[in-house]
Amino acid sequence: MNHKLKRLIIAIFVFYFILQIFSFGIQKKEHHPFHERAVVALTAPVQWMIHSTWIGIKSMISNYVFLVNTKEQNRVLVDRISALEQKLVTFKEMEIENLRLQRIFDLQVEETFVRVVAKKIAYGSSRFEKTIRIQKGSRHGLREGLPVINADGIVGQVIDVYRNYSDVLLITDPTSSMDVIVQRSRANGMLKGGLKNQLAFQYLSKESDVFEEDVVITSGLDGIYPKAIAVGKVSAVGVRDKGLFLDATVRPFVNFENLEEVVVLLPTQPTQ
Amino acid sequence: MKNFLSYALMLYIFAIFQTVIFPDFFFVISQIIAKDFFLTLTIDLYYLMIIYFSFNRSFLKGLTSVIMLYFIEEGLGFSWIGVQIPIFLTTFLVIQVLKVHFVFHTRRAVGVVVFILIFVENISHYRLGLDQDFPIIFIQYGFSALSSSLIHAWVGGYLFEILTAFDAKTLYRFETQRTLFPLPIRSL
Repeated sequence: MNHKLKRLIIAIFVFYFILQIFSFGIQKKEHHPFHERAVVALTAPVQWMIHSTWIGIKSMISNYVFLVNTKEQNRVLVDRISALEQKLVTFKEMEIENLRLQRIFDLQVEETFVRVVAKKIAYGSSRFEKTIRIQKGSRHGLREGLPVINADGIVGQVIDVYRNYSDVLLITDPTSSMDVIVQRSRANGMLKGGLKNQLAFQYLSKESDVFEEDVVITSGLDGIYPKAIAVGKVSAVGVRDKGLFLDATVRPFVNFENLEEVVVLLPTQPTQ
Repeated sequence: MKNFLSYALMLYIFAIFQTVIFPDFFFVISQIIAKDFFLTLTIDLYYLMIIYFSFNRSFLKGLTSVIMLYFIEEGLGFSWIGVQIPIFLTTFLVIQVLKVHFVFHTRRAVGVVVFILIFVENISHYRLGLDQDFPIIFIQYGFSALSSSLIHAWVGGYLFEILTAFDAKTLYRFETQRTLFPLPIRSL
């Protein structure tokens, strides 16, 4: 009995199965069969769960790999930007240097002088002297007493010469002096260093026509500096009623804290 | 004496720093504080070392060191050009005489000596070197002479301590006599 029942059940299932197979391709089912719905109901949540987890893992892995790549790309880009910025700085520096040199060569200097451009390499160490060291020496024809200028005006004069280097005494040094005139009125006097970044305008007669902001230029009478090189502007004028001479101070055009290149003026005719 | 090469090297390295790097550094500082003051700030390490070697317990060794230092300094441009020899000889003799009467075992004592010597040297330079009258010297250069002397006195005190520690077993033994260093080796 049992055996017969078992056979019957198997037969029913086989029949049902064959029927399902046949009906599969014949018509579109309006309703999914029970077993199918049951399987789907059971498996779909699990699928979803596994899928979500996998997506998460996959996303994490791909993100990590992507980040590693991004990090590497970022490093390459940063390196490239840095190199380009360095190039930009170099080009900018070259442009500024070219402008400075252009200004130096545009300077109007008497034709009896040859220009020797030299780079400043150091300031002096002495407490008592204001000097700079430049990268040109006797090998380049330099000697003591030669005037030194830059695009802004007078810098000083050569005081010590070595084979490849020279020391230049700045016009702000207390021992420095030069003969100058006021460009507008031609009033004549001596400029002496010693004041902090200012020059003392001495031996001006009391009647001199000198006012603040007057431009002071070299007179060429001291035998060192050629004529008509800019020196500075009058920054203050003293009281005219006191003393034998009129006191004034001059602010030099040259910024001595930012000196880079200077020009040594070499006379074409040897001086006596 | 055996450390002398190290001192020479120190002087050269300091000279390079002072002439190339410090001016830019001071230029930046002067934009922020005390314009003008830092622009002219120069530490005369050469003269500080002259003072240091003048404290030598042995007159002859001290004099030899000072003369050697003079030759080393040539070309560095620290000193008041033209009067280097009178300055270092005067300094050496003054300190040797001072040592007979006073003891210099503290940083302050050394600082006072350095202050006086630097101040006198500065004023001498303005009076004898630049031929300025005393009222003008004190009005125009007084502040810079004073501040320079103070800075040197401050730096000198520390410098002497370092150098003395370096030299303790060779040149600068502290001794118990008044004419020399009277206290045990702990500090100046």
